[in-house]
Amino acid sequence: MNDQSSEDKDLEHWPSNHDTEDTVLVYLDLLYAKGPTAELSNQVHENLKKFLAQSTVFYDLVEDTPVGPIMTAVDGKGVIAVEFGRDLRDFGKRLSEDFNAWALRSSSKTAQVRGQLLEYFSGERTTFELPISLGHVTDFQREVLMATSKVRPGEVSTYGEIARRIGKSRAARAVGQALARNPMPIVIPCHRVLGGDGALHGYSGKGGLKTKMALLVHEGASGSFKESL
Amino acid sequence: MRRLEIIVASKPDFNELVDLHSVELYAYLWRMLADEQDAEDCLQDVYLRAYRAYEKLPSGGNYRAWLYKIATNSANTARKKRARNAQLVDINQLGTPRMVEREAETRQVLALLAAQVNALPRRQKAAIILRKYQELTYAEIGTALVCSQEAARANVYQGLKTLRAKLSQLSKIEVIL
Repeated sequence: MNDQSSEDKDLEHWPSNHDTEDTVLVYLDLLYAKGPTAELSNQVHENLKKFLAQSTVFYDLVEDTPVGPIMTAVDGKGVIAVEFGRDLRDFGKRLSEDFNAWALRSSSKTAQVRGQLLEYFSGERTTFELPISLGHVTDFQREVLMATSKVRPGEVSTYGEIARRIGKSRAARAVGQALARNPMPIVIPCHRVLGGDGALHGYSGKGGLKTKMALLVHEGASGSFKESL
Repeated sequence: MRRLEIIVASKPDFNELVDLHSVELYAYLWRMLADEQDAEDCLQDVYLRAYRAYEKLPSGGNYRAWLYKIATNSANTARKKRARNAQLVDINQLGTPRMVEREAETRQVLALLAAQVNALPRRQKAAIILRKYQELTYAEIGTALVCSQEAARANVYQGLKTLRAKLSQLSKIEVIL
């Protein structure tokens, strides 16, 4: 016990006059006392700031739309996600994990996508002019999403047709799966892609087929999809 | 009530934690990993991990000690990863870069000591560096290493005790030689 308390005292004071008996402390100082140079430290600090800025995504809620609340997210390059719903806490958490990034709520950074969505719903706008950032999808999904973006408002296409357009005519089912994981519905209009029989087939957004049909009706698309509901 | 409000409002902006602590955390990781690049990668990992956990962290805590806790875990993960990548670690790689400035003899002892420091149980190594070179209190080390203040203290002197024993063994061998 005595032994321990005398050691404790040593530790609290970290003897500055090292006697020859405790060369360990002298050598430890030689190894560790001088940390990284100020120059290196500053460089690392700057790199960290840059890294964190690049690893930041911004998100916010668009409260009132005809298809319910919508959450949007952007990174430094463009739109990264559009989702139906209002659970921002969960959305932010998933963004942070999926993009390995800070997710911060920001109305200013998401103002452009919000503005265009509201214009779309009010009928002032039919097509979106937004930079989009598809860094986190597979090459195949990217091809499918880009081909889907070319389907004009008021028109509809089919999974098979999209498959043909990207030169993979037998991949209709895979196209359907890729669109089911569309990271930004409405902005990339997967609602305009129907089953081969003209049936709405499916919609991953909240409200499912009802939302898909509401969007198509809003855009003035006509066809057999209405009866198929 | 007013007091509570002040505490709640005092949770700093996360960016402040970057500006306040990133330099010392880098020094800590640099000392723990003895590699500039590994330490930098680790630091980035620390702040990403910290950011994810920050929202749920109660305000008014010791953010510095909390960051050290994350850094200690991250350094440990990095060390395991490095051990997987290189089964045989060159003993000369374990020291710090400045060793080359020393005389050959001192360099040799330092390399041996560095190897002994690295051979310590990881909590003892961390505790020594945190106490002596990062200047954390034992209470803060307890937070960083998820142990009591007493255990933090015990880790420091157990580690030093082992190192003293090893070093005296070494010098005996030298005398014989």
